[in-house]
Amino acid sequence: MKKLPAYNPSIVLKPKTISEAVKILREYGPSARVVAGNTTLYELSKQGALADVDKLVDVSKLNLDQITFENSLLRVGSSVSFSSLAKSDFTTRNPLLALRETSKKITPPQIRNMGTIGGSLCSGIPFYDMPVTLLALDAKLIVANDNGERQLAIDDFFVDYFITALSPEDLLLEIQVRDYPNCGAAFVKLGRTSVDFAVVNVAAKLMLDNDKKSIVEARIALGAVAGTPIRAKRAEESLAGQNASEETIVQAAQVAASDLEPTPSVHASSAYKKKVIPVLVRDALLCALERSQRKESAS
Amino acid sequence: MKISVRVNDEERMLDAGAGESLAEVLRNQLDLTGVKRGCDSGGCGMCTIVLDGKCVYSCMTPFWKAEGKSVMTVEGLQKHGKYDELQDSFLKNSAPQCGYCTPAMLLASKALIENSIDSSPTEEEIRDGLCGVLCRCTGYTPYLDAVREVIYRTNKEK
Repeated sequence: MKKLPAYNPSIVLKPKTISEAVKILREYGPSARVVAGNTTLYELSKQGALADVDKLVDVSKLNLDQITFENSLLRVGSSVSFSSLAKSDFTTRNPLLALRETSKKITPPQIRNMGTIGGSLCSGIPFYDMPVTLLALDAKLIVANDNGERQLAIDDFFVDYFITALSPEDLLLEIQVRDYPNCGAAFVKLGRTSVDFAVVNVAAKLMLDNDKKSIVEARIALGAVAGTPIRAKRAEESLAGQNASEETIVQAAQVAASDLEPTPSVHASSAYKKKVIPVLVRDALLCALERSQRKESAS
Repeated sequence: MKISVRVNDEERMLDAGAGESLAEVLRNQLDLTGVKRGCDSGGCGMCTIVLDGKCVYSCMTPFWKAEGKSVMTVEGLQKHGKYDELQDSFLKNSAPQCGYCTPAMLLASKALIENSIDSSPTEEEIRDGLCGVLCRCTGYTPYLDAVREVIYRTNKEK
């Protein structure tokens, strides 16, 4: 068997401030790697993919593990673990409930305790669960580098398999999701077993008018079907302005599937994925609809 | 690099390279061989430990991440020569077969029970709590029975 290039970092740097951290990233570029939960990094190191990494940058002292909610804006630090997100008091309301739902479906608990929301995004892996939900929720990302901070829309974040809009000098600080009235979101995952990665995962968000009778806006995101999580834009457009009914949702789910040539994986062929997509999209949309029509006490 | 960490209620110093995992270091430096390196890639769960009250895969945890934290391995379950109630229940229910996954099952169960002090875990939560440890003897049912028994007993006492 061919010997894989060894992963052998020489040092762990532990910056205490953001400015110290981004200076380190600027100085060392691709030879430094940010470590949060280490779950993806560990797997990549086992595949021989991190032989060029010499310095590990520990971000645990940067206070990036906070969750706050103010003026309808949820702000999640990039080092927040999935289990913290699942337990947060702020993720009980719609559409933020979808974040809690997604966190709980990330299994097993060992991974939920270690893995972080920022890590799931920065890995650029198209079958992870959290990025799909964040895409449906239209999250905003706050990124820092040595030149300052900037805000990125999640629509501009994913580039290709393992590639995101971030450069090696960038540090993801925070993920922001807005809470809207008359809005519901849901996450649905098809896995081979309870602990597998998704065969296909879908998140959907529906925003209704004040009467909760018709759809103002829909966002549908799918994972494990392309090089990045993607949106089913034609299906989204077909829902806008329509009656919030099961019939329109079933039709939109068909549109989502007909537009796609899903990438096959070891667990599912492209044809199989194409068969399950309308079912999963329908389920996610119906659940989002039910949630968006729920009466919620004002907070 | 050197770190200090509390392992099974004792302060210990660990000294290893930046890329070494907690699983390797616990086994090689502290002889805690209850930590198994099964798949060594976060898939089988044999290396499960409890880190600051939460179960994690120690193969995926860089050893330096344990700095200043508290680690529990299966060796730390027994207190004053007496088995933990989970160990008793595992024995009573004949849960272990070959025994290879038993340390990890014990620690995953311990974390499950300790993290649900206020509310008793539902059946779904119990299954979720144990889903990260594979048992290739496929003896999941007696493990689940053993854990349920401890949970129901704890609830009765409350």
